[in-house]
Amino acid sequence: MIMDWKTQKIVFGALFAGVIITMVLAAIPVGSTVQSIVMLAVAIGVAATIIWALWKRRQERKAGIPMADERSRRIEGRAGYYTFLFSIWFMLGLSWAVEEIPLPDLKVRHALAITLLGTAAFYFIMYWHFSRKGDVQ
Amino acid sequence: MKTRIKELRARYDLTQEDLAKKVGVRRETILFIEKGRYNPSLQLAHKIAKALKTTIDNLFIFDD
Repeated sequence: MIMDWKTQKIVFGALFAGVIITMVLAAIPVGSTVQSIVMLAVAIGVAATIIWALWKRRQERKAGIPMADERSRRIEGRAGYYTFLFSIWFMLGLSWAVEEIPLPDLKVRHALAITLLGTAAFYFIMYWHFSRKGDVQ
Repeated sequence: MKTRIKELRARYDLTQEDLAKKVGVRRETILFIEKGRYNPSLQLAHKIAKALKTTIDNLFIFDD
């Protein structure tokens, strides 16, 4: 699958940003106020996204708009493919950064949570990106 | 690829949303097909042609 220039910029930008954000989060002392604020902000962000997605789905159902059609399924497939690649590259990037950057060791549960949230966020970004493009073949 | 969807929609006084509902797709799908930015499947092209009382080759104009 050939990646166009704009998609390449988004993929590599997200990878770079993901690794940097992870390293910044890893530098926050465990049990500090900053960590509590970050955790709260992430929880609020996740909850708000879920509520928004459910609200949007409900509105569309009320309006009689189908949840999925052939184009949205193609977008899902393409976004899923790039998310799969992103998760591999992200974990490789994270492995490299943990070895090379002198920061407190990343806990396994934090790395897993960040990978999970990062891939979910990346999927939404890719879905939005391909939704704005017409051709998703 | 160009299409005559917009022209035929106007003839039958259908909005993009009406046509989308008729053929069971989302409005954006119709929008991108109209703009020539999305190539629909043969099945969807057939449904649109049927909804607009025409044929596929009358609906889509290919630039050779």
